[in-house]
Amino acid sequence: MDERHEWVQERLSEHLEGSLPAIEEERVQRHLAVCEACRDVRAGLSEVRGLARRLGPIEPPRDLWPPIAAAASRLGRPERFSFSVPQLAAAAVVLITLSASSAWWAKGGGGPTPPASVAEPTTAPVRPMTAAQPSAPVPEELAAELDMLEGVLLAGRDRLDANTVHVLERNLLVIERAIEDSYRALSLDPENEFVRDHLRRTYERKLEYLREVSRIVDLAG
Amino acid sequence: MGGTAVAEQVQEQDDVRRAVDGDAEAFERLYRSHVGRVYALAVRMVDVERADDLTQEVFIRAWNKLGTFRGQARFGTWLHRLAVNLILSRRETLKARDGRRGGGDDVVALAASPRRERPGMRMDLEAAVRALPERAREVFVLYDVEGYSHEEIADLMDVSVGTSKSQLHRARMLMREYLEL
Amino acid sequence: MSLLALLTAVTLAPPMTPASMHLHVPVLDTVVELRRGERVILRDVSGTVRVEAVGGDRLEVMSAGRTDNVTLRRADGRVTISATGRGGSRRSVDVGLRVPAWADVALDGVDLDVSVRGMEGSVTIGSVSGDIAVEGTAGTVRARTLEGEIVAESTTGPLYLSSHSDDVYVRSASGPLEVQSLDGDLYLEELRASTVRAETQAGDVTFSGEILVGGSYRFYLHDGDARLELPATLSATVRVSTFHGTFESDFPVMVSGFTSGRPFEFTVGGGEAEVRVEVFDGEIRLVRGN
Repeated sequence: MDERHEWVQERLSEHLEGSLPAIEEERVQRHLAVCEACRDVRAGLSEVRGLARRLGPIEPPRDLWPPIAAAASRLGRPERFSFSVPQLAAAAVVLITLSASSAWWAKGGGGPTPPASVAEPTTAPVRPMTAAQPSAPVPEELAAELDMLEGVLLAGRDRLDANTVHVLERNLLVIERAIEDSYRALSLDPENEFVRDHLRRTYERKLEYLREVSRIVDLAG
Repeated sequence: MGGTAVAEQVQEQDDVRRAVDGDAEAFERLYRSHVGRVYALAVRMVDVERADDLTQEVFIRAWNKLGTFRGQARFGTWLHRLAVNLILSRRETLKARDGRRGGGDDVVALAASPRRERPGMRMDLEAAVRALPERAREVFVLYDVEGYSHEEIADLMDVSVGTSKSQLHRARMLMREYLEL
Repeated sequence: MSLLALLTAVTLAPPMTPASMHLHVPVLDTVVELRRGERVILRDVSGTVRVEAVGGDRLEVMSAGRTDNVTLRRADGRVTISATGRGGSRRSVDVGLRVPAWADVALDGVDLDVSVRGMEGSVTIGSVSGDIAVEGTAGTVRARTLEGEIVAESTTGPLYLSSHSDDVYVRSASGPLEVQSLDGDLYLEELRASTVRAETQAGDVTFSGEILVGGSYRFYLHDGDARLELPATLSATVRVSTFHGTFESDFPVMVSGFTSGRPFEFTVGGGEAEVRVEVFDGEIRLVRGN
């Protein structure tokens, strides 16, 4: 393809959005005025845009509500959040860190955000789960060290190169995902000893991993 | 805003309050109102086979996190953002499993029939979206279908704004080809 | 003796003709007579390190590239080799070591690829980003890397291997084995070990080898498939746990009572070993080998 056509066609989406710099916009328009082929491409892209905007909801072919209702029933009332981070028990801090952290790490959030912050938009802090929840899954003897090591990573990520941070966060996401899967399974089948042991093993794995991360942060100096 | 829309919004706010207090019927009404949009997102961002599970996960997580919804945005907006976050975070694990098992085939996806009968152009359109390469599909769905900005997409997907723009353009060019426009 | 107790910095000698260590541009060669019990430590290095076991008591160090900041220090029963650039930053090196087989070796670095062959003493390797290969060792090997593959072959000593982001391959090992990855597959082939523990959160496990009388073989997966090729003469109690997965067996399975999502156990042959497979979400396949 002629270089001019390629140059113009690469910019047609932004041209349609009206977000090209003025000089580039002018050049695109000059070219379109004399090039039918590129006008065709623009028309096609515009039609794609229009069709996409008309794509609406899709009703699931079967009713997905019953398992959701069952899970909500087992989980009890939704978490309520009340005040004062310093008053939190260590276990509660870890629970919030858990539920928020997968979104937090997936977004690659930066800065020394305290572990108690949640990723979804909110300003409300935390209190321990109510008795209606499944028994607290974080092994008590691991909670304090988990909390401390998470703090080490948060504080130390500025000392690491971007690729290492990316790998560390991606790995942490894998463990967090495994913990969430196990926790959800336990809420659906609280008497399942295998799932309970599996959850505990995954927490221990997380602890080992964070110790390794701490070593890596130390190596970075 | 029309009278009906206002009434619906008031009803929704009331249902959210009730659901936070543990009212499962109120939460079911919220579910019925929004499941179509969440399910569509799961189908288009991932695939039909996993959309059921992902949709259920979204609502279970929403139930768990209802206490954090402070009402600054509309409930649907909050729920949708939660759904996008969850789906994007799940795709890494799903992709790893697919990779180990030989992965999917975009060409096959285009030829496969959808689970529901849809007339004419819309059947081709949905299939064409699902045939897009993963990154391009995600950006196309978030931008052109769901209306997120490039800045929001960059934040959600941990990419640059430039990457979001180039993936969108790539998706649109491929869609034009698939739909013969 | 007091002299030996002092910290001594030794600038490496000018170039000599080195022994063959697959280095194409050998620049440097130095030899140190080790005392029995002395440990060899490479600390805070980046680049490539090759360790080869030799007889006798002489440690030979060969390095390609610039060597003016490669130092060798000797104190407190340790010979420590490190490489630093300006301002104390790490310099990338290409180092070959011929180490007395009896010596214990420890290597630690950030971007570090390591290969070790034939050691009988213990070997400890820590890397952040880099591949690790171990062959023919008889001592205990502990190797961990955040991002990189680990390969171990024809080893007889205990192995403790951990890669967080990549695959681990173990072939023809006969010592106790603990291997884990977080986001990677584990390939355990032709093992003759009496104890195997394999764990991965997001990856598959493939196993083949002997199941020894009195042995313990445990496989823990979260999201992945386990394929275990077990001998046709298998004699073991097998415990299978999966919450959301499938199970297939070439061996006859007889259980009394079964609840979906809960563990079940069955015995093959005389039940003289323990096989435990726990997969939260994935396939479990027991394949009959030869």
